[in-house]
Amino acid sequence: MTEAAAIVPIIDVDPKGIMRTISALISELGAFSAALILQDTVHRLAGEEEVARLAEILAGDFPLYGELIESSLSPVETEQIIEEKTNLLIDQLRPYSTIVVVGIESVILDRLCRKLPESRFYLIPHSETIEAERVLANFPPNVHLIDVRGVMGLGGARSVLISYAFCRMEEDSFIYPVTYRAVGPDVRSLYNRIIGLNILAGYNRYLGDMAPLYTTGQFFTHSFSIL
Amino acid sequence: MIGSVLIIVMIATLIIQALIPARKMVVIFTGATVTMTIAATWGNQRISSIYNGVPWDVLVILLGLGIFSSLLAGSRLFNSLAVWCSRASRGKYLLVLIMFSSIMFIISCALNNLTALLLILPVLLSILKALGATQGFIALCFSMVIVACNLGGAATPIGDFPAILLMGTGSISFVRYLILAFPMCLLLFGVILVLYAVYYNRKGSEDAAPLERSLALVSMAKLYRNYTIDKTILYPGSGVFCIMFGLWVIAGRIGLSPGVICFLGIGSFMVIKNRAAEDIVRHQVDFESILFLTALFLMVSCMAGSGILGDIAGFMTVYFTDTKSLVCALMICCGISTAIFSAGPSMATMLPIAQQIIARGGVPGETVYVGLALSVCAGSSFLLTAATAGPLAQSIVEKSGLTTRDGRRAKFDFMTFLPFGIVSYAIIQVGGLVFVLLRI
Repeated sequence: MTEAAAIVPIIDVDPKGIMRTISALISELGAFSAALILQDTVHRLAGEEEVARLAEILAGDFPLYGELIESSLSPVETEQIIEEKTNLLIDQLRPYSTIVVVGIESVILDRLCRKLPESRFYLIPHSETIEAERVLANFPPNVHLIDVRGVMGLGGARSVLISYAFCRMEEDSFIYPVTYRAVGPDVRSLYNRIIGLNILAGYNRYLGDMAPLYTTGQFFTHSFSIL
Repeated sequence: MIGSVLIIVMIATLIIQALIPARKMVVIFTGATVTMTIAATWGNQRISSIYNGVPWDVLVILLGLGIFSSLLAGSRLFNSLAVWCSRASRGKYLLVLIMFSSIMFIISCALNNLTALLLILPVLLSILKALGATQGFIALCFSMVIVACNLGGAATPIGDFPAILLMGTGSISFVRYLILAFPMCLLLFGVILVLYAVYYNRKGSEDAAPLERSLALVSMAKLYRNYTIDKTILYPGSGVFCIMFGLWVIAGRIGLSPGVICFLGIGSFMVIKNRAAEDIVRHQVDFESILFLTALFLMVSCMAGSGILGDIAGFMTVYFTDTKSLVCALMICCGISTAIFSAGPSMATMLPIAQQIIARGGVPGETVYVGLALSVCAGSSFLLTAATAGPLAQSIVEKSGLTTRDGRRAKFDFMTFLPFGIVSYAIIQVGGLVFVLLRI
């Protein structure tokens, strides 16, 4: 019996059960990273069709997963895009000594932190239910966890603030609530640059291009850009 | 007369500290102050002789092993073992129960119970959360982990307070305790684990769906994706532990006390890992339990100086003329008092009485001491509040926000543990009694 054949049909899966299973992943690795892991796991175990079917089942609980599946990228292709975009980002971040990251997305940060060992990373978790020691143990020593209140004290000419906004063209955007606080008007002027990362889109664009209903661009400065 | 007053003060102190755990330090120090004042004024005991009655070696070993546990925990070896357990369990509940309780038993043999719990529970909680365990399984699993923790602690002379007290006071040698207690604890652990596993199977609990199991295992792998063992801590830590172990084995022949060996070993390790050690000593050492036990020992020292413990031993010897019934009575008293007052007070009070009984002759010392340690272990496994591991586990589960498969908040409290506690207590206590009766 093959591994895929041993799996129960995805249609029988309880969405609440799936969400409970991946809740720690969403908290500690990030919603986008969790969606990628979910896609990869289901893809390996049950095949492409079941991946799409699960997206329908989880539409109400985990829409970001559906957005990821709609992009029609395979897990391998997504990995390649992340690799390319992270490399671009690394070049832009080299001049900065302090990098404040709002929200944790391990698929991006794992690469970023190791390729910029001289920079100090300050991560503001997007969830309160994290095992801080475990989160830190997965990163190199140049990474620290801070509370959102610490964002003010870390500003400066050599400081950059990064956050995520996962969105596709003319669709909903997914932004961690903590981002709204971290890029408020009192913070914007303190940082040399505020960068938004959108891995979900297949091309670069500004958040300001989005539909008015989702004008998340207003939360960012002119220097905000989506990579 | 003085002895009776002292014993009343001590019992009152122990009851009040058990009733008001939030003020237990104040209560115990007040009790110690009152006891010492009575002993010094009415009983004409010298303060220096009261101090001399405190087994300082035991406190040194407790403190040293506490620092050692915290330092070695930094190597992440034990967390990695727990992660390996979750992977090896393949997401099956029964295997989770067996693997995690086994690893808890093993770790508790070497580290103190609190450190062992703090290392293992986060991993166990993560896998249970991901698998969506039922309330019944959560209660069963955490109860088994607590019992495994107690049995592991009793299995070696360095695992828990009663054994450390026995070794530190020179009541029994390191090797003799290990030879007598370890196989017994391992056997009792096996019996309880099999019983719990049979109970789980009888209840007919179903494993999580295959997709959830696969996702849970992938989740665990990702949550600990870059978790590596810190060899700069592990290697010197293991080296120091091996040297201490070797010296403890030959302690009698080389004329070094277990406390001095511990002092030398931990001191060397602290020098090697000085930065981490400084941080641990300043912020992580459990000075509270050391101070609690110091106050307790002062009270026991006052009572021993008054001669009341000898009188109690004499009374027991007269009342229980048969050696076997005498030892059994002592062990059952020890088990019950541990369940009510916890291991520290129980063992600190019972040991001097046991020593007096042994000193009168006709009772094999080593057997009684190991029997007492098993009784303390039984008492610790009786009620969730009996050992520090219980309330800590309860607090960790509450704070974790663990939910059951049906989405309700998971419960692990006094009443949840009680049925499993009664069964575990009965098995360990009976096992201890059988062990002693077979050897007398």
